[in-house]
Formats: sequence, structure tokens, C-alpha cells
Amino acid sequence: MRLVTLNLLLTELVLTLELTPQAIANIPLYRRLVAEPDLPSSVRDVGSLQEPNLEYLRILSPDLILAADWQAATQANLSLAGPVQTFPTFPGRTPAIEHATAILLAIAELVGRESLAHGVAEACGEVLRETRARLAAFSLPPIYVCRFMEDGRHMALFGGRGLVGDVLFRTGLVNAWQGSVNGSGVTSSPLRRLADVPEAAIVHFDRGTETERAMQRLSDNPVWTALPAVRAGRVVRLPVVYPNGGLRTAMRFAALLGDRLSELAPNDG
Amino acid sequence: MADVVRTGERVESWPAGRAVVVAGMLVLAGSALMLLNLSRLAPGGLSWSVFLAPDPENIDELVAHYSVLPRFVVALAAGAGLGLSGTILQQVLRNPLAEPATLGLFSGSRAALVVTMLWLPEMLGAGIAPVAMAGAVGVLGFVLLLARRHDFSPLFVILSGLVLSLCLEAFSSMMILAHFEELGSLLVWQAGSLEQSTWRPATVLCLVTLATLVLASLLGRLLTILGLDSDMTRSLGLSPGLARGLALAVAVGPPAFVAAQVGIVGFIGLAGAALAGSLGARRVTDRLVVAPLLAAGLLVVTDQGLLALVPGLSIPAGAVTALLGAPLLIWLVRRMRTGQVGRVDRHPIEIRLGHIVPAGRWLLLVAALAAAVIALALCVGRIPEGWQVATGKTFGDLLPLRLPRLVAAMGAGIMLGIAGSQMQRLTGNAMASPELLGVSSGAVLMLIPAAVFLPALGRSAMMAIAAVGAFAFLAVALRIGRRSAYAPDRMLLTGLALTALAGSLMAVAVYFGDRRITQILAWMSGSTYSVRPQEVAGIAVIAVSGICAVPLVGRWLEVLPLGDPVARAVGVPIERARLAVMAMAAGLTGAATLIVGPLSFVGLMAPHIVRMSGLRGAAVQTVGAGLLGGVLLVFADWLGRILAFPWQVPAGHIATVLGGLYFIWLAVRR
Repeated sequence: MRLVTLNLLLTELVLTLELTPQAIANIPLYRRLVAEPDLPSSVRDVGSLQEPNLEYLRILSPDLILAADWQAATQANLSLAGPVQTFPTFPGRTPAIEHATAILLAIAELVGRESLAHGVAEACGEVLRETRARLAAFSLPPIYVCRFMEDGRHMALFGGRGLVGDVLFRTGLVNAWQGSVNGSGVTSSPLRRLADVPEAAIVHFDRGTETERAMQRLSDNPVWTALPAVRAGRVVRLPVVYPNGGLRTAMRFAALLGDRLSELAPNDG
Repeated sequence: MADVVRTGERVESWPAGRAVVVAGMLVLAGSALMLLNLSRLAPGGLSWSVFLAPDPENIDELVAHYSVLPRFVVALAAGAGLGLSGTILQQVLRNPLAEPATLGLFSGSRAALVVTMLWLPEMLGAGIAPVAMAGAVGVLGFVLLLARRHDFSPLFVILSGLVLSLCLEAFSSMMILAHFEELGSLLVWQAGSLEQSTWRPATVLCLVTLATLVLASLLGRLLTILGLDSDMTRSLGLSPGLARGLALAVAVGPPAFVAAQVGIVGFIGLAGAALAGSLGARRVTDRLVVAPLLAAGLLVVTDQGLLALVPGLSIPAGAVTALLGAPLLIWLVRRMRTGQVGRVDRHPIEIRLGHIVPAGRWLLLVAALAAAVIALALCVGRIPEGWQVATGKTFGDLLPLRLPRLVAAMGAGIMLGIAGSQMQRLTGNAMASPELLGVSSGAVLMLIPAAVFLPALGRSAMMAIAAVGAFAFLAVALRIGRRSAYAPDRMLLTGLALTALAGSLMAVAVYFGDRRITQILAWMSGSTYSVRPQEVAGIAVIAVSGICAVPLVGRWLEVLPLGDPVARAVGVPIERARLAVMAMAAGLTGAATLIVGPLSFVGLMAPHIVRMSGLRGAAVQTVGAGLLGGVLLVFADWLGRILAFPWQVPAGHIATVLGGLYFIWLAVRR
């Protein structure tokens, strides 16, 4: 079956079902943000998420095009290139893992791989339960999950029941950020929000040199250096995960949290 | 003839007094809000030590000292600096719409940051500030270099600044569309959050603003003269070009440093200067004092007010200054007397390059160009294996994909070119572009909340929502304009305020990082991608009727830019003429906006390019601008399809860059 996916989450889910799409939109972005599952080199790039190339799609003549509902608004012409199936990829109020599981099952039904999909959903639940049991052994403080911006004054702060917030919730952790977030469970926030819950630990995502520079800026920031979490060394740097990702991303993030937070716990007394 | 003689005005001891009182009240309100925010920080109360020596063990005191207090100072210093800059620019460029963004400073910073963040991250080692600064200075240098050949003529400075700014914006938007997730830091910077964590930016901005104030007061008399005619300047033994260059260099200090230290804080410079004028400060020396105060007050009230109202959300002030400033400006514009808005050059929309091209020859050339680009757009494309010239069956297969894009590009280009030319003739202002009617902004203002809060919409629903927004805002603009017999200067300021409002909402939506917004960003970039086959006939009908209607208002278009007295003398019914031209321009702009999105460049630049290429006569120029706009967009659309295959670049971006290069070539040629 020749499948084309036009959205990063849908691409991740299709690959999770061990299918190789014929083409996807924005290959470099997938490799950079999602990375796992690995994208085979045979997959073609049909252009941007907003404007996938219709003429190219027509040549590829896929059996099915999978797109996000928000993409469908300006891509009414997609149907000229092949049959289109859209999915609401933003979880909104539904917890992200539940939401991603539902989409995974829906895709599985379309391609006849239901049992595999159920297996993945089971495995994901298993990883989350394991991590929860592992972390329950320590008395962990509330956790801020964030990504620092270049300016050393702002950060992206994760909360709600977006993928990051949902994994936190299901592994029994308390999110120190209880404020509002957007449809993918993230908000832009000034750094000083981290002072609101002084006893919290800070988990932040590592985007390589960008994060290096942000950390360098932060070392000049008197509020940052005075944060109890910073003084007590309760700052954990994690490899970046895609905040709109699917079950594989959730499993990877949960495993990372389990490993790194249990290292942190003894220092916390 | 530059100054308007006013009679029957009440003589006040100091006409700017009222403006100072308003500014003082704003600053006081901002200070009160700041104290409220400070007291909320620690419910137990803070000691006075937070002002000078905070307790290093007390996190609340540290936040107060290193975040809340410098933020207040930054708002005051940045606001004052931008207000000062706006005042100088409006005076030197003799245009009430001029502001730091006019010279492309913010666009330069933004483009420089995009480039370094994506490809040269090692250059960010010393922080965002040096890169943002370099971008701003680089653009200014380029604008001045171009304008030097034209003796820094105000119109030329404005046009080169706008062209460069639009080109850089097109580039940055293209990159943001492709690298949305990677440019998170840029999206935060461009929202212009005043959040602080040290005293360094506050100190820098205070010094820069003070230095600019000192320089501006030294220039005080010179600025008064620059607001008058060039002949006057010359008679006083001054080279007007040199004087203008000097004043411009002084004016760009604050915005460049604000961009470097804080981010993009737009509109405030313009709003401060415009409010100062409308509150009665007319003399330059008065405005140099009052405008910075007003701008500082506006910025600090906006910032501290947001902090007090929605403490959890941390909405960036730079992006939303328009939320407070725009309604205030609209309200004041409504109450203004004629001629109070600001002085605009007479015949300001003409740059004569000497030669004149007969209309027949010009049209023949454009028709040949049109035939060529249409053939390209329909027949030539790329496939994974290389180039492909579509004939026979392939041609028929691809036609349903290519024809709607072709017709949309041609149609929208025609509509926007005509509307732009009409707007510039109606207002006599070279900076007037069709979206300043508020039509496109209205559409955007409705679409953003719809995209964020409603479930995913289809194209028809989006078009309907955009149409409602466009119509509603046009109604508002016309309702406001009716009191002044649709005086163009007021319509422009109102439209500008609405545009700033839409821009604010967009920046906030992007700041909060919602991916769905990229869909609106793509639409706003001027893309023919989503035009459906069933829309083709409608688009063609509107475009052709647009062309046919131009001769009907041809005489009015000829006379209106000459000013009211002339128009009245030759028997033009001014109010009716303005309303008719405006309604036609609004209709065309609205239609084009629905089809391909709000596209500044074609409407703004096509009329100038047509004039600079030597075509004369109002109706002919207007139709010419339409045809040129159409040809330009079709060619841009085709280029966008093949340049980065399989990736596609929105036609609006390509048209902007192409048009910009052509403008620069025209400017350098002589």
C-alpha cells in the first residue's frame, strides 16, 4: 500500500506500525524533531507541511494520503492527488497518550494492522507503569519541564495533558507548572516562573549548541543562580523529545525520565 | 505651501500642556500598576532593600530587584526612545506614517537572527544583541547608501526602507514557515517581551535614550527646517541631504538598541508621535518632549497592566502595544480637525526619473510579458527526474492543478495593483497600500481566533470568516471616516491602527507557539496553493471588472492627489469621489485577500514601479499597475513552484523579492 503522511505525528505513528510510507512532508524536520522511529532512506520528501507539492503527489499517485485536520483547511486540492484521510492531531482537552492511541488504532484499521497497534499500546502502558513504580520508590519533588530560549530570559514550559504533561502524569510525577498551555501542551514563559515552586526540580530539553548558549546566558542571571533547584543541583538535562509526538515518543520520554530522575533522587536527601 | 494656515484656533499658553498631562497620567498609572505587581510578588511584603540591595537568599527579593524593577525601567526607556525616534522620523520623512519599522530596522534584525540561528549558530556566542544590532545597522546602511544617490529625499528613503523591509520580512517568514519549531527563540524575541533578569538592558536603553534626546535637542532647529521644503533648507545654507542623513542617523539609535536588548517593539514609536500631534503638540520642539513621554507611558501601562491582569500568561508587551495604542489612536483620529494629523508632501507619490514611455508601447510590452509567463506557468514544470514541458495528455492532466493557480495569481495581482494605485492617488501618500483600508487586517483578526479556538476549518469556512472580518472592519473604517468626509490622512491612520492590531494578535498567537498558526502564516504570505478549480471563473470576472471600472474613476484619480482646493476648483465632488474610489479599492483588496491572502508588496510597489518605468496618466498608470501586478505574481508563482522542487515557495514572497530587486535596480540605474 502506497502511503503518504503529511504530518509529523502521523508519520511517527505509521512508522510505529512498521509501515514505510512512500513519501512524507518535510523529511529534515522529522529527522530533527522526532528522529525515532527511524525513517528509511527510500522515503521521498514532498515539501512543506503547509504546501505539499501536488504535482509531485500526482506522479507518486499514493493509495492513501494521511493529513492533519488543520492542514486540510488550506489543502482542499489534496484530493486531486489521491484519496485523503484526515485526523485531528492536536489533542486539545483529551490526554495526549489516549489521543495518540486512538489515532494509531484508526490508522491501523485503515491498513489492517490492528493487532500490532494494540501491541504497541500495551507496550506503552507497560513502560509507563514500570516507570511509575520505579519512581514511586523515591519521594520526588514537583517537576518543571522546559526548554530554555537563546535569550536566557524565556523558556518553553510544558504542562497540561499534552504529551510531555501526560507522561509526567502517568508516571506519577507532579508537574510544577499548573498554568495554561496551548493545544500541544506548551507555553512561552519568562524564566522567573521557575521561582514559583521553590522546592521543584527542573527537567530541561537539550537542543545541543542552542541549549549550551542558553545555559551560558543563564549563568549570568541572578534569579536563575539563586533558584533552590539550581543551588541544590536539581537540574536535569534530557535529550529533546517531540512534544506533539506519539506512543514511541512517550515511551522514550518515560524511560529517560525514569533513568535520570532516579539518579537525581539520592542527592535530594 | 507646506504649512497649513489655521485660523480661529484657541491660543493656549503652551499648546502641548494637555499632552504632557495625559502622558504624566499614563506614567503614573504605569507606576501604580508596577507597585501593585511588586506587592503581589510577596504577600508578606517586601523590604525597601529590593530597590538597591536585595537579599541574595530571598528569591522574591531577587525577582523584584532583577526582574520587576528593571522591566519597569526598560518599558520607560524603550518607550521614550521609540517615541523620540518616531517623532524625528516623521519630521524628517515628512510622513505621519513613518516609524522605525519604515526604515526596515526591525526586519533587518529579524532576518539577521534567522540566518544566524539556522546556519551560523556559532555567531550567537555573544548573545542575540550583537546580531540583532548588526542586522538593524546593516539595513540602515543599505537604505542610506541607496538614498544618497537621491540626496536622501524623504520619499526615496521611505520607499527603499519599505522595499527592503518587505523583502527581508518575506525571507524571514519563509524561513519561519519551514523551520517553525527550530526558531522558538526567534518567535519569543520578535514578540518583544520586556521580561528582564539583569539591569544591563535597562542601563543600556536609558543611556541610548538620553543620548538621543541630547542629540535631538541639538538638532531641534534643524528638524523644524527639515519639516519644511528643501528650498528653505538650502536658503539657510544647509545641504538638505546631509541634514536629513544626520537626523536619520540620530533617529535609528533607540530602535536598533531596543531590537538588540529586548526584541521587536513596534507601533509605539508611531503611536507616541501621532498622539502627541493629535493632543495639540505641533511644534517640533514640543513634540520631541511630549511624544517620548506618551510613548513611555503607553508602553509601561500596557506592560504592567498585562502583568497585573493576566499574571499567569505573561503576554509580551512589544506585540500588544497596539491593543492599547490602536483604539486610543482611532478614538483621537475621530476627534481631530482636518489638517491636524500631520503634514504630507505635496505630489509625494511621484519620483520622476526623466523619461516617459508611450502608453501603447508600454502596454504592448506588458502583454508580451503576460503571454510569456502564462505559457511558462501552464506548460513548464519540474518532476523528480528533471524538467518537463507539458503537452498533450500531460498538459490536460496538469491543467486542473495549474490553471487555478495561474488565474488566482493573475487576478489577485491585477486587483491589488489597481487598489494600490487608487489608494496612493486617493491619499497622496506613497506609503499607502491597499491593506491600510483595514480590509485585510479585519480578515486576519477574525481568522486567528477561529484557527485557534474552533475545530479545523475548510477553505470555504475560512473564506466566509475572512469575508465577515473584512466587511466588518471596512464598515468600522468608513463609519469613522464619514465624519471627516473620508479625509485620507485619517483613513490611513485608522487603517494603520487596525493593521497594527492584527499584527499584534498574530505575534501573540505565534509567541504561544501554536502550530496551527503556520497555516494562517502560509495564507498571509500570499499563496495560490489552496485556490480551487471552482473559484477560477469568479476571480476572472472580478479582475476584468476591476480593469473596466478604472476609466470610470480616471478623472478623479487624476485630480484627487492634487489636494482638496484644486479638486474643488475643477468641480470634483470630493466626498463622493473619495467614497467611490475607496469602496472600489476596498472591494478589490477584499476579494484579493480572500483568494491569496493579504499581500502588501504588489499593492504597494506595483504603482511605484509603473511610475518609475515611465508611464504617465492616472487611469493608464492604475491599469498598468494592475497588469504589472498580475504578471509579477504569475511569474513569482511559477518560480515558487520550480525553485526548490518539491518544496514550494509562496508567490507573495517571491514577488516581494523580485519586485524589491527591480526597485533597487531602477534606483541605482540613474
